[in-house]
Amino acid sequence: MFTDARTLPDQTSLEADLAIIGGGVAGITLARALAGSGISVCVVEAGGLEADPEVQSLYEGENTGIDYSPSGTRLRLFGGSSNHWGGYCRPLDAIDFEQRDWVPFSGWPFAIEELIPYYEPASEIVEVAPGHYNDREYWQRVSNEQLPELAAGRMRLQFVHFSTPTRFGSRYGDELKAAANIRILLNANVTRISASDNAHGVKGLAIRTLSGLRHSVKARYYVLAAGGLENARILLLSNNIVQAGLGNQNDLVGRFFMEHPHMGGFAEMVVADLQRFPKILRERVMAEGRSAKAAFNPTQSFLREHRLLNATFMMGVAGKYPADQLPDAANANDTARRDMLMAARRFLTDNDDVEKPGRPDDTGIWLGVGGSCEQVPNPDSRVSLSTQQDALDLAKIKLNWRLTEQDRLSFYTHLHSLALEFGALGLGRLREMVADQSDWPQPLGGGSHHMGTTRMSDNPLRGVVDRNCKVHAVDNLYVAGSSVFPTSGAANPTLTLVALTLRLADHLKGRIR
Amino acid sequence: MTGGHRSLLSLCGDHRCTRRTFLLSALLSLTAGVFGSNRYSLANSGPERCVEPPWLRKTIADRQSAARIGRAYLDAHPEYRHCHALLTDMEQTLKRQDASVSLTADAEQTAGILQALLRKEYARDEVVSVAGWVLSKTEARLYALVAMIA
Repeated sequence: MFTDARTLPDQTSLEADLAIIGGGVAGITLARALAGSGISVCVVEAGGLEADPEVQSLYEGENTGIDYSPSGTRLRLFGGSSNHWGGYCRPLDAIDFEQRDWVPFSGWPFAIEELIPYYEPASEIVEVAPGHYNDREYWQRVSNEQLPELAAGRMRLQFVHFSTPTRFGSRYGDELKAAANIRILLNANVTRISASDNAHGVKGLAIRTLSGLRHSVKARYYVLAAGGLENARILLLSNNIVQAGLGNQNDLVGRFFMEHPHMGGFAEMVVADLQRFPKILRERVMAEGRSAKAAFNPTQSFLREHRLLNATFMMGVAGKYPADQLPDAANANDTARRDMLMAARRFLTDNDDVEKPGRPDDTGIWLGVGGSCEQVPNPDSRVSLSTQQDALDLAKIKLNWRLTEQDRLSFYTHLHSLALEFGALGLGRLREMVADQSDWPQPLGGGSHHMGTTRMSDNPLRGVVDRNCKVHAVDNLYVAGSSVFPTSGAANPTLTLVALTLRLADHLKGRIR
Repeated sequence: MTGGHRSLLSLCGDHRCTRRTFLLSALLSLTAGVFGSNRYSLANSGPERCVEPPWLRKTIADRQSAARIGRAYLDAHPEYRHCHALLTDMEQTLKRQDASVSLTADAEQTAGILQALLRKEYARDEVVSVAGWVLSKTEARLYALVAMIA
């Protein structure tokens, strides 16, 4: 059932076994997992079924760190940020879960094996199943192309799967609407999670609409699933008992904000012989109704040996150089690329004799290189409350996204590795476009991946939630979404947050019954 | 025919031959033998002028392109502004990779050996940066050699 909170009488109080704050990817996944379970569920969604600028403006905030838009990187409507999701899917790597002595604050409370049973159902939910994320033989077979064995030992191929992308609201809305045990409350802004007097439990949710109505939801259990920025904000705003905010007795809520630094224009590659360069390395390949593309990721042994953070690179064709096309002498980049292609032709093609005519139709191609990387969990990279207020008189977020030198050096090391792997294979040559590597490539942005602000740890001094995603010291409050990631890895987070939410659903089913 | 078989003194030709020039010429002559060329030598005076080894043409087809990259390398590495230094370095690099490698006068075979060497250098991170390009050391020096010949 869908209910617009603006249509309810003022001061309406709703009850359910479970209240889910947020109708985005995590909230919808959790509600679906509980459909037909006999557990009554109320999903409290701040937005409506369509985007509304006034509602969206509630996501605006102050930014004091790296240039970043708190409102432009998330969406406040049913379906949440899946409504602008790019659809990139890949699980985290095993090493991402480990405590690595060169990565401060690293280590999940469990290994990847804990999530593996959930990755395939998660792949089905985001409509990319069956997942063949590391299965090069599969992609060789379906693409009918031999994939290169990377030779330098630094990088490996993995396969990003592309969701359509699944817009969770429109894709699963009707299903939820039909579920007898689920109510979706729209246009309902949670202004506070009200704690019990001893702060060990949640009594209810205070809700306001932009039209001025005030409601409440009471439940036995609560799951905060409002996104990596808003989860922290709502906990910080919920300070009726714990002045620092609910679950924030150890000053961890909002800290450790992580993104995947995304960069472009920092490097380009030239490739002379497309027959050596399988299609899946440069563009999406369709197989069994879905598409995938190869990503270049560091090997785990290389990460360990050189004490590096994770990273991922992908390439796309940016231009071609037909053999009969005259170079643009006024374009220095154009000249440089052609020079490299022509000079290294003997090393980059299967034409053994460079004095023989090459393929008449191409001198080669050049590719743009895109990359993103893991950042070290950093307590100074954080979400806090601003002195500015939104239309509901609530403190806006103040975001201070920070990166470290370790993050930057790690990224450049991996970029260098990419050049070596291509050279070792005789595939291509890479040109680094950043003259001064003492700074990040510009423009530097994020992937709209908000992670770490309610991080998971079995130690309350190191994490806001425990291994079951329950807020430490609060018996009936859980958090879902990428805000619980203790480390980010380099894979896009959606698939993993869906898998984690399915795991949480299993836990809650056992606990609520 | 290899340069190593030639009279070392003949390398000085009709011009005055200092001890240093003589030794350099001798070294070049030996190197030329390794790389299958007898046609490069020091110029008699002024800047060094190189004569192209036959395998180079088999290896680098577009000389203008390679020369532009090679000049960028030489700007950053002036110590390699000598054919013999470049060739000696390449020879030593090859021998370090595989002492049994026997470079012959066969240009095609030499080009193949160089191709394999380059790949190994990339795999071992034996690279330099040339105008932003990440190039194997030997590859960069090949282009530098072309620049000096062109």
